[in-house]
Amino acid sequence: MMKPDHRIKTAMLAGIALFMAGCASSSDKGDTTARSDPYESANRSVFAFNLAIDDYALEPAAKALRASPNAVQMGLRNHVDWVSMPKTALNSALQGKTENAAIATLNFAINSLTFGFADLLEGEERPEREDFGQTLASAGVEEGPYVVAPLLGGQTGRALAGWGVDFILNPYGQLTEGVPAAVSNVSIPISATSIRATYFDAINDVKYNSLDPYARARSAYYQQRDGLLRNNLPIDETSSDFGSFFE
Amino acid sequence: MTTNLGIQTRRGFLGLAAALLITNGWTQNALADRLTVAENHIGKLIAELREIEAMRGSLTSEKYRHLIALIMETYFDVEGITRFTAGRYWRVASNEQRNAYKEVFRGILLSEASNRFDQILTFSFTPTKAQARGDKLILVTGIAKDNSGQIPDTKIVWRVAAQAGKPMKIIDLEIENISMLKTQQDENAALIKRNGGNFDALIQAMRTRLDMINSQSKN
Repeated sequence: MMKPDHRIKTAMLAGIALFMAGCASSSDKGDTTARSDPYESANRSVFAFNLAIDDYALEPAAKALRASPNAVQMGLRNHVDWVSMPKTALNSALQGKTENAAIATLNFAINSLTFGFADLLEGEERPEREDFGQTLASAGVEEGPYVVAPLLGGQTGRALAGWGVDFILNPYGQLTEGVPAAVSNVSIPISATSIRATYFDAINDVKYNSLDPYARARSAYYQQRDGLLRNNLPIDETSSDFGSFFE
Repeated sequence: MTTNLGIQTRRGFLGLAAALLITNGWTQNALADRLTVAENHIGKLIAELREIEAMRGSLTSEKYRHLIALIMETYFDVEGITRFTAGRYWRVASNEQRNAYKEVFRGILLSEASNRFDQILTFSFTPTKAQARGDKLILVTGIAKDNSGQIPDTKIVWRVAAQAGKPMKIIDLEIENISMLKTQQDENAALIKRNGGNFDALIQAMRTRLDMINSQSKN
């Protein structure tokens, strides 16, 4: 994990604040194709860039990882999950979800014994993933436009701003203060490779089997994000597009 | 007199309460039956797919596609799915466009299904609950477990159309909050929108895609 100094952090927070101001006027609800994508043309260019990075780096790395023993893949997956626990605990607490915060804290503390590579709480209750974008949503901040960021992929302005805050405030960064930067920095590409390997077929399906990969990825993102914001409760079919199925 | 009226009123209330309890009980039983039928519908689909995949090696590709087509027609509301994925453009499409879309969409659906249903062998599905959503839809939720261990346990929701007087049919599969039906509808709508609202552009793009899939499966 990178450890930006105080000035960089302040500049990033200022940038995020400016970005949030830009988000405030956008709409929040409705079908995913009609949702705010005012930068679609630029987004498509960045999406193409991200696909090229995937072609040359991520997909081959993920393919190699998938050829490794299952224990290696599972260990990395557990580690990626473990690294996100402080973020989940912090944001759960900010949203008043104290039980989820406690489960995430317990999970992080116990699995710290193995740096998260082994899940010592396997089979126990898992915390629901929470990030600062969700915290902003619970505070009533509007979602903003859809933005595809280089390397990070597509997300709403609110989620992207939340990602920046999580990146800066993540207590994991403080906890790894003594770890050399060269070691902690590799955790980002390793995490990306692990996630790519886990969802290898699903991502390849979007990439190679879609009529419009950009539109498919955007739709999937919105649905997944909406699910998180509903705390993974089922969608209300009567007030969504599904209501029109029987017309 | 007052006492008689009181007794009659009480009897009336008791009768109404009993009738309500019976009706409510009957409704609850009917609902439980519908939920069980929906869960069994999914169970039967998975069992049949497993059977077909188990004997795939001994089937010609034509026979295999024929069996998958039968499965699709038996268990899925292909007509409804076709219409829904065209979104609002369906309403303004001509009959000719509708028929062309139906044909090419069914072709892609069948080809994709034939290419993917083999994955059923590496997964096991355990239903966790079935819920009615209104009087036409049932959600069967469960966990898919990847037997190879490469993918973590995944939450799956099957949307089953359960309309009175009609056989139950699957209309959608949702994986970790991502609906296949909605995603396809959004992708189609985006493609039409990028082509200035031209429905034929989608049909043409789908034809090209279908030709590509068919040529890949021949090679």
